[in-house]
This record gives sequence, C-alpha cells and structure tokens, in this order.
Amino acid sequence: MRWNEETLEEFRWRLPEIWMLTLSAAAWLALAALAPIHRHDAGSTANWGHWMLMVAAMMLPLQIDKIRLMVERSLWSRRHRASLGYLLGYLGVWAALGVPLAWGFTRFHIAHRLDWRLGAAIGFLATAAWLLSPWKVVAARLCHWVAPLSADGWEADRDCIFYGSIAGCTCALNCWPLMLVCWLSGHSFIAMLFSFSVGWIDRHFPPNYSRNAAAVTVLASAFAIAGMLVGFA
Amino acid sequence: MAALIRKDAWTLSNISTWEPTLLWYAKAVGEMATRPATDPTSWRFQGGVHGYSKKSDPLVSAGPIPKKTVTDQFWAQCQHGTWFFLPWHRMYLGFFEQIVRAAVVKLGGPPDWTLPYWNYSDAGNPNARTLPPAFRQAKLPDGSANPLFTIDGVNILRAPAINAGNAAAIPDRDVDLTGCLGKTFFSPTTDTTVGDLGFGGPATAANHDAHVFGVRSVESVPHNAIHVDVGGQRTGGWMIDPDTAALDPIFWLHHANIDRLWAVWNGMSASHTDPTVAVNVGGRKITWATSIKFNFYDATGKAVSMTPSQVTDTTTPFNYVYQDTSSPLAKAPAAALAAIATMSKNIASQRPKMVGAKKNLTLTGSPQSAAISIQPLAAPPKAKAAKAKAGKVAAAVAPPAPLGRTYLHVENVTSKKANITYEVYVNLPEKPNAATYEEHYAGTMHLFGVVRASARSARSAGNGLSFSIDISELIDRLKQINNWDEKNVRVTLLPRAGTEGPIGKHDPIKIGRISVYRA
Repeated sequence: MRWNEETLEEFRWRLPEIWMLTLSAAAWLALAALAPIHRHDAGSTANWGHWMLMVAAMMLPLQIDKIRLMVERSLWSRRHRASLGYLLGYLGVWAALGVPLAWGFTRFHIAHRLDWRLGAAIGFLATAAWLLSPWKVVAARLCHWVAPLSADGWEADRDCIFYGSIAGCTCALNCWPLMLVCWLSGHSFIAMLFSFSVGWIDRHFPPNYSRNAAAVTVLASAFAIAGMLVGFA
Repeated sequence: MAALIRKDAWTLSNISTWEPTLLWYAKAVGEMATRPATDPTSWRFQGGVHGYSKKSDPLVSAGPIPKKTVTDQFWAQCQHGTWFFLPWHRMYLGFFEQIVRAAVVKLGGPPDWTLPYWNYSDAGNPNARTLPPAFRQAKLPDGSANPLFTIDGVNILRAPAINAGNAAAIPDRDVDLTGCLGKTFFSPTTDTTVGDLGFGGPATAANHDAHVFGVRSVESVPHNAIHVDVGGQRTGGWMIDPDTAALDPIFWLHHANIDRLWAVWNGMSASHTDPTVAVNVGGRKITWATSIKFNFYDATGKAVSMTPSQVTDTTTPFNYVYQDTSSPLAKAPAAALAAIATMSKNIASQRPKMVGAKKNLTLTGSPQSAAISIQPLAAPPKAKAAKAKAGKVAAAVAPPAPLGRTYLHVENVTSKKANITYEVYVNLPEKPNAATYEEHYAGTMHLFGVVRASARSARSAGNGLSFSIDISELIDRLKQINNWDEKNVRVTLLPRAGTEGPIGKHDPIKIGRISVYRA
C-alpha cells in the first residue's frame, strides 16, 4: 500500500483498535509463557485469572469492528475513553461468567478427569452442533445491535459501558462454544489456538455455518483420535 | 438479436390505456397469479423473492408457500441500504421480465415483450406523477378483473389518491432527480455509513434488513419516496412494506425506472463508474462486482446465481435498453467536471467524525426538535505530531485538509407500526412561512421498510433505519442570514401531511440519536 494521505488517515482510524490488539497480543504471550507451568490446582482465583487472559487473547480481536463502529459514533477526542468504557462493559460480562466457571473448573478437577485432547474434541463437537442450530443465526444477528451513544459527559461513559456489556452478552451467547473448548481442554494453549481460528473464520469469512461445522467436526475427530491414541499408549 | 427496448409507460398510455404492452402485462400477471406459490414463476413466488412475512401476506389464503429450504435461499433477498441495491434489483427485474415474457408468449402475445417503466420525474409530461391508467381500472377491456388492480380477488391496497389518479399524491420533492443524479460517485470507498453515501449507497456486505440511506441517493429519492407515496403513509398499502411491495404490479415499473436511472447516471459522465475498489466491511474485503452471489430462478424454473459484475451492462445477459437514457440535468462544462471528479474522490474516501449528538427522540405526530452543540473538530494526535515534525516529515504524510462537509445523521429510526414521512429542518424559526420552510429544509425521511427493519429476528438486529443528510450548503445559507451558531443547532422534524389528510397522533416512531458529523 502506498504511504500517502489516505494510508495515514486509515491508520489513524485504526489506532483505537491497535491498543486493544496490543492487549490481546500481551495476553497471548502471557498464556504462551504460562502454558508449561500452568497449574490447574492453583485455586479458583488463579483459574479465573487464566480465564480472563484467555478472554482477552481470544475475544478482543473479534471485537475490532465493533470498536471501530463505536469510535466512529463517538467524539473524536473521546475515542480512547469510549473504547475503554466499551471494554470495561465487555470484559465485565466475561469476568462475571468466569467466576462460576473457574470455581467449577477447580471444584470438579476438570483437567484431571479428562484428557485435554478429548476435552477439546467434546468442545469442538459442541461448537459444530451450535453452528448448525437455528439459535446461532439469531445470536449472530444480535451481535449487530447498535446502541445510541450520548455525545459527551458521564452519559457518554455510561452508554459506552452499557454498549460494551450488551456486546459482551451477545458475544458470550455467540461464542460460548469457543470458550467451552478452552475450559474442557484444561486451558490447553493448542486447543485455544484452534478455537480462536474457528472464531476468526466465523467472523471474517462469508457466513457458511454448515461448511464451518463440517470443518470443526473434522477438528473434533482429529483431537478425539489423538486423545484415544495417547490413552492407548 | 438487437437489444429489446423498455418503454415509458406514459408514452404507451398516451397511445391508449390498454396499449398492447400494458394489456399483455396485465394478462401475464393474471396468468402468473393462477400458479401456486411453490412455482418459482408464480406471482406470489416472485413477490416473496423481494420479501415475505406471513403476518403481512395479503394473499395468504391463496395457498401454501414453498418449503423452508427454498424460502431460506430464494425469498426475502431484496438488498436495501447497500451498494448492492441497484445490481440486485437489476437481476431481479431481468429474471422477472423473462418470466412475464414467457407467460405473454404462452398467452399468444409477442415474444419481444418488455417491461415498461414509470417515469414519474418526466418534467415534459403533466401526467407523469399520476399512476398510469391501466393500473387504476377495475376491469380489462374484455370485462374481466384487471390483475393490475386486483390480484386473486384481493384489491391491491394503495393510497386512495394514487388510485384516483391525483398527481398531488406524489410531491415534487419525491421525484426530484437533481440530488441523486448530481452525485459524483457510486459508493464511498470506505465502509463508512455516515457522510456522502454516493449515488448507489454505502459499501456493505449483503444487506436485507439493516438500512442506512443517504437521503440524496437514488434509493431515497425517488425510490423510497415513491414506495411510501404509492402505498400511502397512513393507508399502509402494499408498496410501503418490502414484504408486500413486489405483489403490486406497479412495483416492477417503478423499479424499471430506478434501473433506468442507473443507466442514465452511468451515461452522464465518464467518471460515473460502478465501484471497483475492494472495501473492508466488518473484517471482510468485499468487492462490489464479484464478492457476493445472489440467487434467483429463471423463466424455465432453473435456479441461477449471479454477481453484480454480470449486470453492469443492460444488454448482457438480459438484452434490453431503455427508450430514454438522456440526463434531465444540464450538462456541466468539462473543467467543472474535472474539479468535481477530484473532489468526489476525496469525499468518497472520507471518514467523517462525530462532533455533536442528541439521544432519544420520539415522534407521534407533532413537531419535535433537538438541540445539538457542535464541538470543534480537534486534529488527531498523529496529525498534530506530523505538524510538529513538519520539517522532518515528508509532505506526503501531512494530514489531509478538511473537506468542509457537514452531515446530519438521524440514527436508529424504529417503529412497530407507523410509516409517517418526516421532513428535517435546521434552525427553523418558531413561526415559519413557506419561504423559511424552503430555506431551512435539510431532507426527508421516507420510512420505507421501517417496521421490518425495527423487528429483531433471526435476520435482523432491529436497528431500524438511519439517514445521512449533507447539510453543508444549508449551513452556508444559514450563515448568510446570521442563523447559524455551532453551540446551538436546532434540528426540527415535521410530519409531512399529504393527500391522505392531516397527520394526527400516530404510533411512536423512535429515533435513537441525531448526530452531526464533519469531514
């Protein structure tokens, strides 16, 4: 791309997303660093922290377009503040969801009871079933809901947080199987990478749920076979 | 084979109410209406391709509709509030014309039958804004029911003044082509939904339910305006609802005219080209010409799919031209056109920035106003940095100069029932007269499709309609009369009374936000 006025203008407009992507990249790096030493019996709080890292790594890049839209609908001078408000609302929903899940993960010793590959396989099968269900279409549509935003003042902060929390709810409704994969696989980094790829394709390619479900089923089968082979070995 | 000519319905009507092209159309519509809705060449099937809702289906008692696997793929596909509006409807009309022609031939009519167009903007025809008489007759010449007036025994619901042939049912503003034909580009080259959205609408993915309109795009005026005027904002006739509009035979002549206007605009200047730039829309690179395929059935009942690249020329594959594609606007000198081309490139690639807004307004029939304070458009930090380093930074990376355009954006207009048209004014005096109305007029919101766009469903987030209005010239006018204060901009919405009588209290129309954008 030529480095000209339009490129600069485009770059400026993308800026609000870039720091969010930086946060996501940092979360990925932290997860990669933690992968060899992550202990599932470290307690609910540590597992909740890991859950939030996974959310930041996987879900924030899927919010790029929403952040862009919100920035476009906010005062230019407030764009970072608006993004922060949105993020607070959005991550707040996932944080609340993470509390019972982290507790359950610890309480029921998910990582010890289930081989991570088989856990991922079950998660991906659930993903395929979700992609083929009529509710997926509804959930995907709900993601496009747009909240009216006040221009300035505390009302604008409130609206951004509200918009982010609604986006968090619809995103959780839409993407819960992706996080289920991570949960059932005992926070496996490899399963996370595949799960994130599924989410990215779902968001950025023409919607073809049956094709995506077929691909995810193949993925589930691969994880299941790997799990069984390891089990036999 | 030479291209067939789509003719002006009023030119035909002036020969005779039942000039053969119109009479064969009526007979073919009657023939198609006898076919079951499961037949892709039936009247109901063709209507369903545009939109369908069982709740609003006026022909619901005429038999079952096709199975879900068929309706999911082929029904409710109309494209609105998008740069696919024009190509999708060209495909739709092309296949429809083939189906009608086959029915005409089956009934013993001419094999070169073509769909006429209704040119309601024809300044040379005093009858232009009245519905051609063939659509107002209860009977055909042989005394049987006229399918252009009655389908399957159900009278087609239109505004009473339209069926009475009253030209006042369609105001001058609704057929004014200076706004749309004056556009210098087809679509923005970004995915912005604010600002100048060009002749053909914003760059989006396939878009059936969520609508953003530039109020001077061809889709707003005359398209949406005529839909509302013919259906009647208080009557709530078939044409006002996308789910029933295509069941009214006049729909097809209206859209033939919109399709003709695309050809007119293309022919006005060498720079009036269809979109070629791929636009990043929601994370997907979308190329207007080739990225998205649309599904139809042809006259043989075979499923076909098409991309916009296949319909940029009317002569292929549908093999037709229009009787008149001359521009009703005066030709501009070459130098002016060159200047416009440069400016339009800048406007097309703009990303306007929000500078003020007012949330939540409810319209119920009385005038409503919102006060907006416009904040200065601060230079982005990067631009400031670039300025500071002016000596070190190459001139090429200097921030682009502001274009000086200001837009009013009426966002998320939703309603469960009401379709009332509202006119938007800026800084309207408390006691306006006819001259001040004209002076302060910004644009009109024609709420075609608002009810469906407001409903949350598997296909819609229920965001309603949004309208982008360029008020740059209006601000210049207001400054000249010392009636412009950036800190206090008053936007007033007035219901537009028409031939259906004064607008009383109506079901609420909610507006999410009125905002001001600058580029």
